[in-house]
Amino acid sequence: MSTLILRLEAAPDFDVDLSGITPDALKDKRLPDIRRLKLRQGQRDMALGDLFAIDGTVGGDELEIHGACTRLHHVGAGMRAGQLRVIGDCGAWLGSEMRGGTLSVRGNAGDGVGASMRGGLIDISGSVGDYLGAPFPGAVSGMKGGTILVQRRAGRRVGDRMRRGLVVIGGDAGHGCGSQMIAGSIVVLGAVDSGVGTGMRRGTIALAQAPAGLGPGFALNGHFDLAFTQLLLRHVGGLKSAWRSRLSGIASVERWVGDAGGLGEILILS
Amino acid sequence: MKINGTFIEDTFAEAFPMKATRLIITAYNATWANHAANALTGFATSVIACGCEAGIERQLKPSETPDGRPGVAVLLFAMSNKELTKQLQNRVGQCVLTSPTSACYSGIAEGDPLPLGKTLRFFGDGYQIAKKLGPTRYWRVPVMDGEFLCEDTTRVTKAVGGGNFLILATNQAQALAASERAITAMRKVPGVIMPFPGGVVRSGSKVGSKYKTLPASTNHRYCPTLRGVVDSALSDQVGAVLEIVIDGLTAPAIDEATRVGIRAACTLGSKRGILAISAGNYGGNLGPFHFKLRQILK
Repeated sequence: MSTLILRLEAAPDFDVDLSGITPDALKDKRLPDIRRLKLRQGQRDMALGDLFAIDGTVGGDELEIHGACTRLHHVGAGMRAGQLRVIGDCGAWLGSEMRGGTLSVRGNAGDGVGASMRGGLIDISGSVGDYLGAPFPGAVSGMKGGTILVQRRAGRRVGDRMRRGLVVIGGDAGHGCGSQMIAGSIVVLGAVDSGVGTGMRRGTIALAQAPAGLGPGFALNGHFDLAFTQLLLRHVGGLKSAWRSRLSGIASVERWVGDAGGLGEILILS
Repeated sequence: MKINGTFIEDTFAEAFPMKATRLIITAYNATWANHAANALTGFATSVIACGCEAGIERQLKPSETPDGRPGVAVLLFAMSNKELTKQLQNRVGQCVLTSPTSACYSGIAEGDPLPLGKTLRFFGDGYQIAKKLGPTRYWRVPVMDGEFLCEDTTRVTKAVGGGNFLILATNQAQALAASERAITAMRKVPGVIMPFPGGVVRSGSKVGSKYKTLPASTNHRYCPTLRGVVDSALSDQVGAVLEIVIDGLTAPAIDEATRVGIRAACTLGSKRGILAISAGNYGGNLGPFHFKLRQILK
């Protein structure tokens, strides 16, 4: 596989929009054309080559960004295919409106990761900010497909208004996890803050640790040994080997249902 | 050609193209997975009157199933996608959905999709839940013991139906003993089922009948009680004939099942009454798949 590599020459002291810098978008371009690609920086444009040293092979399905920093926003936004690997931290809207391919980050990411995402896989080794998998500004619903894996902590409102897809948080999740969920699945292997599932209509939130409390719209539905739970846990365990051992031995779930419409479910894995 | 003194006739089995799918049925334990699988594959011996041919392919360990519970792999064969769809809907709906603790998954990854949970979900009356994990969609249908979990679709593949061989023995007991040995060996071959009761059929048929309404009737040339009455294919020593019919996902799978089945049947040999092995065909004019016994046994 041929890989195109972008190396950040120096961390910028301004915010940069990397929309459009994806493996599928660069695949058919020549190196000089790639260097001349315009990036939005405030009210001005700048060339990709002004910010990054670009080497590697063009024409492939793989792109790497080395030395990324939190000033880089919209990394992998709108990506449709291929593999994008980011070494370093990223800013907001990573993988927003993504439709396919794999976006992996060795580092942390800011707010709005996977906003209004429709497909593909986002895999982040560190922590993320607020509104993971939530609606992109102007959109009615959050992510509509795909998978987001966060190995450490996620901020507030994970999966807000999420409609489809799977989010797995290896660490803790902040306030309002799964708020206003329309459907889809969220799995949190760490602790969750208050407001879990507030306003959710449907969808599943599976928690490895019981929350301090649930909203008044939720009622205990019972303890169940569901085939779906095992299917979900095996699927999640298959995504990260480190999670497999944490999920093994879980037999039954405490199921709570409720909130807006009464069909949202919170599974407490025990 | 002889094996242990059993004569292998220089003939072939004639088989036909079919459409097939594999389902994986899981349950709380193997007993209940088998209850569901046995019900699903019941009354599915021949497409002549059952709509499909179905059988248990093998037992599955928990590590081999999607939900980590004990399971059973079953194969269903029909003459068309339309008929297979209908049979799936009826059989899974009435035999698996109804069976305590069961879940049903596709056991084939490639091929055109056929609806499975996609249609059965409506039993949930609006309370059903769709879940997509990776590329696969599932349905969770609320039922009285919890949930029926079912994959949205299964896949259909081209397959081969009607592979067969005949065991010609001195009497019924010997024919049955050889058949049982054959079936035990053949059940270890992946990708095949023997759809008749116990894997064995005694009423081998020919195409057509003197009665116009019947599409098939008894294979009179292989009925020992008609020897001397009709142009019999049996020698004077043959007192019973049993047939093993094989449906397979591929022709090589049927080759392998035929090979191990005949070899197992022949372990009894001519001294214990297994006189000959033959096969059923229609002169080679109807089915495109020909399984030549001697070639397979080389």
